[in-house]
Amino acid sequence: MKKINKIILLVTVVVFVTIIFTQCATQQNATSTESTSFAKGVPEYVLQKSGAQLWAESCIRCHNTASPATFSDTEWDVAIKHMEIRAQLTKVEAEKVLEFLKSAN
Amino acid sequence: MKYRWFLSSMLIIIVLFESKAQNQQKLFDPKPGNSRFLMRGYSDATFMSNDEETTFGNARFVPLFLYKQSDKLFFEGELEFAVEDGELEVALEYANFNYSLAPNLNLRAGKILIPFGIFFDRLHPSWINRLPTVPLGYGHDGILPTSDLGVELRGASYLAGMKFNYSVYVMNGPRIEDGEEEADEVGMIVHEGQEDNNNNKALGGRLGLFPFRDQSLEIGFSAQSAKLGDRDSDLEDIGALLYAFDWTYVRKVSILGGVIDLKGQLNFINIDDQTYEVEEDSVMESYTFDNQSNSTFFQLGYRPTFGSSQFVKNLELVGRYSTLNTPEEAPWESESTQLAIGLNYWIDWRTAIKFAYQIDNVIGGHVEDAETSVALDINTFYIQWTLGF
Repeated sequence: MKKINKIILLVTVVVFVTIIFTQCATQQNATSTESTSFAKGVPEYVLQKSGAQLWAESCIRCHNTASPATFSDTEWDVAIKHMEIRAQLTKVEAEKVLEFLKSAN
Repeated sequence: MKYRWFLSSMLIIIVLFESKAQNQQKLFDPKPGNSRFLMRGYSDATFMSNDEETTFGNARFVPLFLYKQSDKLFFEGELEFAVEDGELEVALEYANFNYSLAPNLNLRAGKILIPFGIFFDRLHPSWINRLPTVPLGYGHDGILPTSDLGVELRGASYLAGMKFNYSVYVMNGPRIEDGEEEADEVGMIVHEGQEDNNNNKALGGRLGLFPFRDQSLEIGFSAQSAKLGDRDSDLEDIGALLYAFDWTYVRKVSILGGVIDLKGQLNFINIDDQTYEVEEDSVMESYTFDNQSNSTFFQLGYRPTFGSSQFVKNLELVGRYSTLNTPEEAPWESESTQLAIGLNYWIDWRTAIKFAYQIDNVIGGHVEDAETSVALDINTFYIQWTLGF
């Protein structure tokens, strides 16, 4: 058991460090070009999806899909940031869904 | 002279009207500002009936405070006010701030819902949970982690064209019941400690993969490693390894005329072998057992969203099968199964009335004054009203 715990610890640390390095590298690339360059590395099929499609795909994995009319633009801004963190949406998905909800409410 | 009075009066009236109009415009069209606050949450009330009792069991009000200070800084905090057995209980479910280090990389710190599997992190609010109860392994005497104090990195990204999400965390971690207060729970893992009992921290994480481009399927693996014993105690070096597999499959299926929702989780808890000495009725008892537990749940939901009748569209059928097995030879040895069948009526996307019938079968377990293993069959009917806001 102790051996397994050490392996788990090692794997966790490696994953942790890898994530930080890769994501920070992504951020450096992003800040050096245009503001929407966080879309770099995002597969083409995701970029081609509309905000409405991502909204339908993402929400329903946990709960019923919310009506765009539920919140104001300002409230959606907070609610989608919350979902970006809690429901682990990618930045591109969150931006597209927010844009759709603001246009449809 | 009269002309001047007239002009002055008109000017004052115009200024007053303009000022009032501007105030009204400000009142109805406020500038949003950078700091944004939103209160959400949920509330529920439950009626239950079985052979033992028929009661309006409990009611809860669970406000969730969300605060976006900037694009990078975010706070979430949830309180729970519950009336249970005639008493008001207040709890801090979670409270943490989030700093977005980079796109798709978030650092959270504070009291956090532990992403061990999917149920507690994502599905536990009653307006999201499709049944009035939770699967075996959670709740009182639960063997699975729920929330804890610590830090976490989480986010989602793409690898070789496939979406994945991740979470890596360091928490205070669980402790082990040493038998001093509850002799018949000796060796049991306890996740909801009020204070950190040792210097060791729990390390864990979850990785979720989306094999299909429409995100209909998510497969996850979680693991957590921690030492459980109190510092400077005989149990200090006892370690625990927890791991879980989870899946979510949600898809509109035209041939079935609606949406199917499959969810499940397999949990395994392995604790280092140890001989426990506890005093029971002034006699020292010794327990040695293979401290391994497991629990599962399998859930299927179906909502006929393609129907022509709005009433039928609002209905949802749910079934959930759940198991819990705790170590043989332990004083809290048990084998439990639970089958719940439910029918929900959705008034809107976040408000529902749930009807459920649950069959619990428990062999053994933590039963006070039980000399031998006992078997219990409990059939309970539930009605729950829930509203997310």
